Amino acid sequence: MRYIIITLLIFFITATSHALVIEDVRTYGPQKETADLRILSSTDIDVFDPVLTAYSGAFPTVSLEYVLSNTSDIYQEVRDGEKPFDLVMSSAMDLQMKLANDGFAKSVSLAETSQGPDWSQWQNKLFGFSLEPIGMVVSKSYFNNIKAPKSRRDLISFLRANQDDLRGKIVTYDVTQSGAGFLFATQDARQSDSYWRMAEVMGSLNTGLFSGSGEMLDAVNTGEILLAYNIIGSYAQKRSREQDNLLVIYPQDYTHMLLRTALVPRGTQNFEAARNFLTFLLNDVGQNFIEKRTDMLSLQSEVLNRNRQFKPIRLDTGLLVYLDRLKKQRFLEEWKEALFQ
Amino acid sequence: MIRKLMTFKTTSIRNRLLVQLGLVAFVISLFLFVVVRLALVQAVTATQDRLLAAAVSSVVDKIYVVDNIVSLDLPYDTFSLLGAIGEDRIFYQVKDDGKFLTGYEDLSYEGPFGDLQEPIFTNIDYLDETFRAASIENIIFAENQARRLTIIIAQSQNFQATVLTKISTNLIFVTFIFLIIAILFAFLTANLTIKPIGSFADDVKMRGPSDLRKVSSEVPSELIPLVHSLNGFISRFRTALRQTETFIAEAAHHIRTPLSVVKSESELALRKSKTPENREHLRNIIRSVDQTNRSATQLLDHAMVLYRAERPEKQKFSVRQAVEDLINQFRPAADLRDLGIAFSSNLEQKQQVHLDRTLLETSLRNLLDNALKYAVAESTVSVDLIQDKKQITVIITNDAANLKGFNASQMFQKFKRGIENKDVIGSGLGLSIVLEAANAINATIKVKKLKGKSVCATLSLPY
Repeated sequence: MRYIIITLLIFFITATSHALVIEDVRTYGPQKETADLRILSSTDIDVFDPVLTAYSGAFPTVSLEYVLSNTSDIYQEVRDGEKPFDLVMSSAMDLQMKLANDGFAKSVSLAETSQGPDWSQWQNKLFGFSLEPIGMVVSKSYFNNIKAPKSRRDLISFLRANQDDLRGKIVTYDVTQSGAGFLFATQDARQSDSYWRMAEVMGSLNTGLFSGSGEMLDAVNTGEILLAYNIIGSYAQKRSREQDNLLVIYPQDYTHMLLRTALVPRGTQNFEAARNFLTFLLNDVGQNFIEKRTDMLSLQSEVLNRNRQFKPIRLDTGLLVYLDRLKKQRFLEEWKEALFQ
Repeated sequence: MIRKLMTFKTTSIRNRLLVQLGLVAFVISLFLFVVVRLALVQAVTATQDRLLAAAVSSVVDKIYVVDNIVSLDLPYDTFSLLGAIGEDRIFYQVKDDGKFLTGYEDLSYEGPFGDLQEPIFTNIDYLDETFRAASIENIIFAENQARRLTIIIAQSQNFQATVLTKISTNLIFVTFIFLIIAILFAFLTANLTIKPIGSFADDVKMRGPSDLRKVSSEVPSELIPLVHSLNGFISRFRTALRQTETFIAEAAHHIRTPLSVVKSESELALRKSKTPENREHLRNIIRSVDQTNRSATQLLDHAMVLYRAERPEKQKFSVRQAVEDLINQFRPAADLRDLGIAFSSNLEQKQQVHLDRTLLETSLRNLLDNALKYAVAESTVSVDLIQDKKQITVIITNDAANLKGFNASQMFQKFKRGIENKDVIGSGLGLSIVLEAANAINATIKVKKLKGKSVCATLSLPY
C-alpha cells in the first residue's frame, strides 16, 4: 500500500515537472503538508537513511522530506529554482562547484565544531560531508588463481596480455550519460597521462558502457563481466556482502576520493532548518554516523591517513574547466574515439 | 587648586614637550599606517593582476584552430590556482570576431582590450559582486584570414580582502608598537631635556648661604644665557655687599682713631678734674668710648670674617699650638680679674689641621673673650681640646656670674645679647662672628647651659 502511494506520488511530481525526475521520496518526523526541511539529493535513500533517522531522532519536531534524483537533474533544478528546496546534496562535485561559483548557493556560517578540513569546503557555500574512494571491481572467481592488477599500468599490461579472456568482459561508465562517470574520467585524464592509453586498450576490447553502477556490479557478480572500472568502492563493498563474487581493488598509483557536497540554494524557504541540518551533518555526531553506519567515509576518516594513494578530488574552481562547452566537447570526442573503435 | 594645576601644566616644559612629541608620534603612526596600507592595496591589486595576466596567457596558449573552427582546451590548473588563495569565484568569456564562443555569455564587457603583453585590468560588476577582470584581444590566422579573439577572465576579490585583512591586522599591531616606543622615547627625551635644568638648579641650591662664587657647572648651550645673567646678578650682588662691608670697615677704622684721642684726652681731664661731678661725667665718657671702640673692632672683625669666608686661605698648622697661643694672649686680661684659664688636650703638638687659621682664631677668640667677660670673679675658665674618631672639638666652659635671660637661640643673632647684663660691655656681634667664621670653615658651634651656672660652648672641627 505504502509503495503504491509513493509510486503515485512520484508519478504525480514527475508529471508536473519537465526538468526534475524524482526517483524516490522519503519523509521523516511529523507529517506536514509542506515539510520544514526539503532535501534534494543524489545519494540513495538506503545509504543515507541512518543519518536521516539519527537527525530525526535528535530533532523530532522537524518534518523532513528527502527527495532523490540524479545529479544533472539536480543541477538543472537548482539553476531553474522552480521548487523550493532547502538543502541540495550531490555527488557531482563539478556541477555543485559551478552552482556555487555562479551564485546559486547561499552563504552559511557554521559553528567551529562543524568546520570540516579546509579542502572539504569552498567559501561558506559548498560543504563536503563524506568521502568515497573510486576503484575497480573484479570477479573474485576469475581472479582466484590470477594475480589482480594493482595499478593502472598493471591493468594496461594485464588487459593487453589477456585480450582473449577479457574481450567484451570489461565495463565502465558511459561518460556521455553519467555525470559521475564523466567526473571520474576527467579527473583520471587530469591526474595521469596513462588514462588515454588505457582508454585505447579498453576500446580495443569492446568495453561495455553503462550509466549506473548497479547493473555493472550485478554483471560482475554473475561472472558475465570480469572487471568494472571506476566504481564507487564503498557502494561495491556494501554489495559484496550479499554478492560474494565481488572484489574491490583500489589502485595504488592513485585512488581518487569523491567528495559528496551540500549547498543551501538561493531559493530556500527555511534557511535555519538547512543550517541546522548542515551543522548536524558536519559535527562529530553526524560524521560519526556517516563513518560507522553508512558505506561512506567521514571527512576525518582514518583511511585517509593509512593510504597515501587516497586523494580527495580538490574542491576548487578547477572543476569548472571540464564543464566548459568546448573543453567538454573535446573530451567527449577524444573519449569516443578511444572507446569506439 | 585647579588653577594652580593648570598653570603648572602650561608652564611645565617637560609636559609640553611630552604632549608635542606624543602628538607628532601619533600623527606619524597614522600617516605610516595609511601610506603602508595604500601601498599594500596597490601591491595586492598588482599581484592579482599578474595572476590574471598569467591566467589569460595560459588560456591563449590553449586556443587552437582545426578546419577553420576555433576551439579552446581550458587549462585545469590555471583555474585551480586562480581560486586557490581566496576561494575566489571565476568567470570567463571568449568571443570570436564578436561572436560568443564559450564561457559566460552574459558577462557584458565591450572593451577596451589589451594585448598579451599588457592586458587591460578593470573592475566590472557582474551578478551581485565586483570582479577584477583582465581582458585581451588576440589576432589569430586561420586559412589566411585574420580573426579577432577577445578573452576576459574575471575573479572575485576575496583574495585581496583575505590578504589585506591579514596584513592590516599585523600592520595595526606593528603601528601600535611603534607608537608605544615613540611615546617611551618622548618620555626619555623630555626627561633628558629637563635633566640639565634640574641639576643646574640643584647645583645652585646646594651652595652655602654666603657662597657667591660664579656658577661654573657645565650646562647645555641653551642655558648659557641664563647662567650668564645669573652670574652677572651674583657679581653685582657681591660688589654691592663688598662695598657695604668695606664701608663699614672703613667707617669703624675712621671712628677708632678719633675715639682713642677722645679717650686719652678724657683720661687727662679726669686726672686734672677737681669736682666729683666732673670726674663722674668723665668716667662715663671713657666707658662709652670703650664700648664704641669695642663695637668698631668687632664690626671690623665681622667684615674680615665675611671677606675671608668667601675665599678662605687654607693652611696647615698645629691646632694645639694655635689654641695655646690664644690662651696666652688672654692671660694678662684674665689676671686683672683674678681669673684662671685651665687648658687640657689629648692632642699631640704636631697634630695639624688644614683650614683658614685666622677664621678659627677669630671664632675661638670671641668665644674665649665672652667666657672671660661673663665669668664670676676668681673662677677658672677651662678650655678642653679633644680629638675623637670623627672630629676635633674645642670645649670652653665658665662659671657665669649671671644667667638672667639666657637664650641660646637668639645668642647668635646680630646685635642680640644672650644674657642681659648691663655691667658688661658688649655689642651683640661676638657670637654672630663666631657663627659666620665657624660656617666658613665647616665647623659647628653649640652653646648650652650646664648644671649650676656653668655655660659651655662647643666648637667641632672637621678633619
